Amino acid sequence: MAGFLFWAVRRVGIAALTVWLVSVVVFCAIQLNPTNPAIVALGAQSSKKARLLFEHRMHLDEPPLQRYLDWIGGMLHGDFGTSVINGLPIHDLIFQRLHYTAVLAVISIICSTLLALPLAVIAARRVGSFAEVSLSTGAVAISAVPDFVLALAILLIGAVLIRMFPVVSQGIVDGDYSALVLPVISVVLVAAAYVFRLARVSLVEMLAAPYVRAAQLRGFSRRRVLWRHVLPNASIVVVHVVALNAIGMMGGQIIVENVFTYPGLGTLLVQSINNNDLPVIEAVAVITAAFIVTINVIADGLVRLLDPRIRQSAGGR
Amino acid sequence: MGGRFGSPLVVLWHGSHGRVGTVLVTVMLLMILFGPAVAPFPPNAIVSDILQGPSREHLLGTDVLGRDVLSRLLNGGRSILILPILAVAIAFVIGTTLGLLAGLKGGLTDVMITGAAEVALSIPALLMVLVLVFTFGHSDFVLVVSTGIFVSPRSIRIIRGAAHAVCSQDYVTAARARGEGDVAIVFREILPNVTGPLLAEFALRLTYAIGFISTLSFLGLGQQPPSSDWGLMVSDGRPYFTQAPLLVIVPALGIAALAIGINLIADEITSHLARNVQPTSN
Repeated sequence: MAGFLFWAVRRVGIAALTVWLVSVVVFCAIQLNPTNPAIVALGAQSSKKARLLFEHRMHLDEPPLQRYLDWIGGMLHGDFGTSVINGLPIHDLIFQRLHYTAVLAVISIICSTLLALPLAVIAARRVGSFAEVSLSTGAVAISAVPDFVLALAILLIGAVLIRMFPVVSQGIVDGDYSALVLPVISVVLVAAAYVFRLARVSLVEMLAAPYVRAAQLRGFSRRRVLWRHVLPNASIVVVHVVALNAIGMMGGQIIVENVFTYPGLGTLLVQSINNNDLPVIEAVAVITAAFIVTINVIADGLVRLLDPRIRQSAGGR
Repeated sequence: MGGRFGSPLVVLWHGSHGRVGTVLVTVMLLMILFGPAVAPFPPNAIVSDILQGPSREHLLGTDVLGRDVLSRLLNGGRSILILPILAVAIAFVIGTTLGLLAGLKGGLTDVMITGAAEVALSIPALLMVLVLVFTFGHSDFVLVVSTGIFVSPRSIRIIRGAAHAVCSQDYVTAARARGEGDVAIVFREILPNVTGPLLAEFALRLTYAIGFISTLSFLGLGQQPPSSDWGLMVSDGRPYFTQAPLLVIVPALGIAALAIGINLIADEITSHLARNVQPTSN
């Protein structure tokens, strides 16, 4: 357990370092941006005096390092600044959307795992069969096609052809989850294809391992070998794959949210970029990064706890 | 590639994935290269009423400004192919340099380079590139360079791994014993022996970069109007999805065909390499 604690401290340290690096890159990038927030907020016709007043109020007249420290200090206390466009506190803007993004992410992680694993088992047991070939080909095609193209195809089927779901998703309104269906399917398909491909490969490898042959020679049924010998071993690989998947999925989720105009962090990010709303971009980018890194640390920790082989070795992966 | 790899076309024609991929990519390449020459109208000319369905005069209909969709499609393929190729080339230059450095030098250099790649991989590239493109503007140069930078960590890992595996082979030890320097070893011993995996990786990354750059255009942060870039065409058509789904479907199919074709080719190269692996002691 001491080994795990040591690992956990180190892993969380690296995660914190990652988020900090993102905050530095994002802050520097925003500093270099030629957009003047005062003009964005007050319009091009605004007087010089009004702009100076605005800059003073938003602390834009202070040196960059001071502003970085204030900003990062505020973020740590949950004060994310105010939007330049509508003057609303960013905290309120983000909170609702973070909720939507998290709902989409969690449902998708669960569904994609539940969908991909049984299929991977089926495919791994019958290599070369029609089912395996068509599943594998489907997974390759889904991974190759850009996420927004796939999401649009699902939008076409679900909202234009069978007209069961809204073309523009407003999130979850009054407990109506129908707007969630198409975005979830899109994210799930992409994620499931990824999990399927990795899980299939490692299951095929495992089924060819000597201990599987040994168990079969001892007369255990195929079913028993699969459930009692192979799958417990494979579960570790699977958690690992799900962890890897979480990062890729969040990138895809930014896109899927935009295709369906689902009101999550991804749409807020693109919207604030198009509006030149600098403080919102900064905050959303850093919070999204923190969200992803957190999911990843949790998944990595689960892998550690599940796998006795890694748990015992003190070193890295 | 020479003898060891066999003629590339023979390799690609070996399996069904390779065949379908080669046909798809060839068709798309012909379309992208010669499309502008055979397009019936200029891509930005307003030639008809808006949002017309397919007709004899406009085979794929017209868009929201009354421009011919077929002509725009035939003219808009270049950015979807050339920009990703340049981006992956940049990623490979970065990846090869740092990956070989890490694989050859080992020690602290290795730890620092792999550590940096690891950190970069834990953040979605899209997030960072969106911020960079926002700051430095959506010129082709910025798109290509920032995409290249954020695709490179994966290449660093692959190339480091390949270099590492090759470094422990007897022929590298022999070359070292002959007194050859690092540069000679890299160019004469290591690179020729990792061509296959690098080629497969290049094709895979190219698929990814095509998706990535067309996504940026779709989000309004890549190619700008009035360009008929396919990603941008999809984005332009999105508000009229219910009335005129063809506006979205046509360019989306173009992107999908290109991406799937290249991915299938990568698949075929990978399985060719897997078939031809010589069993080694390590």
